[in-house]
Amino acid sequence: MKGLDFTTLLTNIQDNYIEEADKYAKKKNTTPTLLIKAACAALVLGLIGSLYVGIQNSFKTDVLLLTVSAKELGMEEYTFGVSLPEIVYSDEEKVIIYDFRGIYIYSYKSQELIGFSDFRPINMTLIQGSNPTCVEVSGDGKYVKFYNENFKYLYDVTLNKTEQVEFYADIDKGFNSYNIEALPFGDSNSLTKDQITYIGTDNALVAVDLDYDFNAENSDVLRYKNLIILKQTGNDIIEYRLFE
Amino acid sequence: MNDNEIIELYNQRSETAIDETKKKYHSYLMTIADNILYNKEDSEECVSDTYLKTWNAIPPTVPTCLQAFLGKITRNVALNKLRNDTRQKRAANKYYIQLDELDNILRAEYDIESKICQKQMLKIIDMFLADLPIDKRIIFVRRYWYFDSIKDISKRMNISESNVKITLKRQRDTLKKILNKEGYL
Repeated sequence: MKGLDFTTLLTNIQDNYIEEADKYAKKKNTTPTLLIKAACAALVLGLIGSLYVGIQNSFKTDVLLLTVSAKELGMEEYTFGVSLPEIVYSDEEKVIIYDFRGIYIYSYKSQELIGFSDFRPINMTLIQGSNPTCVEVSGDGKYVKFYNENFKYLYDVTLNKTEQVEFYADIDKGFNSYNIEALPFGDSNSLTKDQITYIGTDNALVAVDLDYDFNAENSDVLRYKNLIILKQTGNDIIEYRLFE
Repeated sequence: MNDNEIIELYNQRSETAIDETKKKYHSYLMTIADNILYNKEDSEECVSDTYLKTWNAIPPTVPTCLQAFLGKITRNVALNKLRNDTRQKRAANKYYIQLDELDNILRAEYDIESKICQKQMLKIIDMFLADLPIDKRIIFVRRYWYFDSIKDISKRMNISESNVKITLKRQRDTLKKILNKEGYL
């Protein structure tokens, strides 16, 4: 059976599902909800953190220590048409983003890239399609798991260390990973027009953007160093450059 | 004008029925067609075919939900057009990513052409959808019925693209397990 046949079959699913999917619009998150979620997240931080440490110690196989400097990463050309790196976690201290190259940890405090887990040497660069690399962050932002149907990896943010694991106990036991909240697209509080603005665990707004003049005649090639993170706490918006 | 009033116009064989359908659903149908064909002109043609087919179908058919009825026709016309047009197959990369995802669920050779098989599988898929929480179900339907991009779903649902991808992957895995259990794989 091929996908085209299956998708033709899907045409005739119940009418109410088709109508529902067209009309549904998620309501904007409210601050009380966020506070409750933040409180809940705080309660489970220790549990999830210790669980991950348990997984790490119990099932580690090959340890991969991957170090590439921010400048080296920043000088790589940015390919048009490729989505900007996506924010998956942000708190007072750091932001975690990823794209097809890997997972990046940027410290707001020291204003530098403090960690990078490279997808390229381990062939995990496909982040779309039938067998994509999925990325999930633990509630405390200390661990990132990334996996596809064939391989599972665990990235220890604190140690900047990636290792292959056999399985994730939290998935098997139904534990939830952290899911970053987002503003509705086009919300008046959004930090950029084209990208989603997220709400970090510290309730600050964060978004990725490019500092690049597409109309300028003498522009340099678009590179990763043009990538910026915007973070708004209160009325202040600070711009962070990840790869400089 | 509400849907029942539009259907009544079809029943009376009033050509205003098509005008009213266009007013209310043209952009909706264009989105469905364009997500599959990725070409404005072909999508227009596909939606025009939808109006004609609707005109020929009502009466005697009485749609319970006009929007879904029209959407299904557009989707079928667009998929048939895509199947018969190799040029568009090459062009519609966006659509083929979704197709690749679904193809991975169902690799086995199974007689999808059998009407009985289709009905049984559809029932299983409907049950699978019924068991999903509403937001998860919408993600599935937006991706595999409307052929939305991950980015568009992410914007619609106010969740990260990563979250959308993870949700879809788990849904595909679950559906694969269910179909395997039922002997379809």
